Amino acid sequence: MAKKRERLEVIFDILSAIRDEHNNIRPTRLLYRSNLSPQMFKEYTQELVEKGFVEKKELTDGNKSFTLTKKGFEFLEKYQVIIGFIHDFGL
Amino acid sequence: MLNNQLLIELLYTFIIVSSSLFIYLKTKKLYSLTTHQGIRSFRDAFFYLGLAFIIRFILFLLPSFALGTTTLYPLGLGFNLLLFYTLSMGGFSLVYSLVWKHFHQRRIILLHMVAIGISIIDVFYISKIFFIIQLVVLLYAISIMYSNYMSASTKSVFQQSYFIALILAFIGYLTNFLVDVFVVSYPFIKYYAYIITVLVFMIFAFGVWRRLKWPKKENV
Repeated sequence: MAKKRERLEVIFDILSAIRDEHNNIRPTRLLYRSNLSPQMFKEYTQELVEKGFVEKKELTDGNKSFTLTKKGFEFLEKYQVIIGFIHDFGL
Repeated sequence: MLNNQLLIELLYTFIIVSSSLFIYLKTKKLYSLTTHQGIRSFRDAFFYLGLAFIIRFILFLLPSFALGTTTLYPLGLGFNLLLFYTLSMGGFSLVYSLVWKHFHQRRIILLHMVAIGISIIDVFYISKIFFIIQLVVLLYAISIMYSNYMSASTKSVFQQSYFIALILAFIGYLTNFLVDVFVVSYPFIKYYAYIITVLVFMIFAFGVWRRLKWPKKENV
């Protein structure tokens, strides 16, 4: 059985998925890539939008897509340092 | 003699407060990116400890001001209450940063209430209760850190340093406690406590500085 992911790990997976899809991903595709339940996916994406990591855009065809903000990119850049700090200090 | 004592207290306070401020500010970005509860409590610990040492210095200076006893007594009382509250919250926040994951609900309000309770009890009723509780809190933190270290799949040098820092903090508090009880007989012991305390804060500050070397901007 796969180990339960920590919150920051889930956020990293979501943001990485957006980045990997050329910073433009549909919600359904992101749900699949994130490997979360629809309820958890909704909670996480809402949090990420509210905290400014991700933007939810409406496309010309009426569909929605997620893109990373500058803060979202920053999180990805600094993720290893963040995890290292949390590990070293036992937080 | 008084000037030497003032210089020592000033230097001591300056080093501790600067280290605390450094840690608090250096981890600001880390917290803003993660809103991680453990990081928040870790930062809070050093915020309270820095504040505690400023209050401690004010208490040291208070008798030098030409204040009457009707002013000095309540001021001293007030600052003592604040000192024990901030020191308690510093210790509790540090421990909470290690154990918060084990609680389903946040216990921050409870920590504040206990810290206020300890400061009131120590100032008005049972002197030294603060020291005893802080020693117990530190022992608990040491056991948590040791357990975390032993169960970690990868062990870093800093984890060992953090563990040593907690043990030194325990020795420092114990020394402070002994100074408080036996200060008349062994006044020089307090300077050993100062050295240990400075060492503890330096270890934490160095660890934070070393760990938070942000990567250079690269294309992601």
